[in-house]
Amino acid sequence: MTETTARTRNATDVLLPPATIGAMMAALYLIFVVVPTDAFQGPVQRIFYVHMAMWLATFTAFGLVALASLMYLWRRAPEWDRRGRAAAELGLLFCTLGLTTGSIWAKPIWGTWWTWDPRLTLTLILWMIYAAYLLLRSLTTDPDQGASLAAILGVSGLLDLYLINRAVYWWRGIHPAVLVQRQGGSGLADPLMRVTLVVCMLAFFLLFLWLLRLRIGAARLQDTVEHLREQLTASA
Amino acid sequence: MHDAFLIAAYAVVWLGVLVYVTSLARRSRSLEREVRELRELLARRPPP
Repeated sequence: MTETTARTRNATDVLLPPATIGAMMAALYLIFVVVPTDAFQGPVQRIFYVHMAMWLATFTAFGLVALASLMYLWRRAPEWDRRGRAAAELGLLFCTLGLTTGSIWAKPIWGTWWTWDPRLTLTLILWMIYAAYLLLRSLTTDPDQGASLAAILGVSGLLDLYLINRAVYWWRGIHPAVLVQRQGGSGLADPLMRVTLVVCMLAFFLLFLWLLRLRIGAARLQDTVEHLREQLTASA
Repeated sequence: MHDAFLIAAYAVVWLGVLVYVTSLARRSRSLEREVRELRELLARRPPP
């Protein structure tokens, strides 16, 4: 690692926590104090800001898994495997929270907790793909084989990410596409709503980056433990 | 009534993040302790 890289890492570690907390406070203030209540959906529309932020973190995380998987399959470097593992775990956390907040929003608005809308179904499949990725890692006895198989699964998740993005245009389900069109006069009509959404997405994106760094650190420790155990067995 | 859904959604998010952060911190602490113990064990071993 070069001196400049190490300095950048230290600066990021110092700046990321206060930046995340500051952005989070600003997001909560905007959501609960500043932004106007949606005329059609009422206060429940405020769930939307955090729900969208979950998806930004989820898609970034799973995009990173795919990138790290490709790099691992190409270079076979353990660092790429660690990054993939860390991003998959966080992606699954944010995907679970995204599905849950969506379900809580759907009950008063659609009258049901869940519906087999194309985008929702594809998102559930996405959750299953990355749950399988993590399960595969924990079930395989050969770490290299587990990493390679999981990497193939990690890359294949990209297809589902693309389908989720196109689902609202191709299959016309009931899931709204609020960022690109206003449906039934709703959506992000007020400029303050758009500002709030951007701040909320930034706050959760920073939280994702912070947690990712911590999780990669834990993955490095795990690898060190395994390396030390091998050394102990060899010297016994 | 709709306020209950709003509160539930934000509670789920913060509870989820809190549980994850707590479990990650616990895992990291346990791994750090294990690294320390394994290094001590290796240091005590006579060289081959």
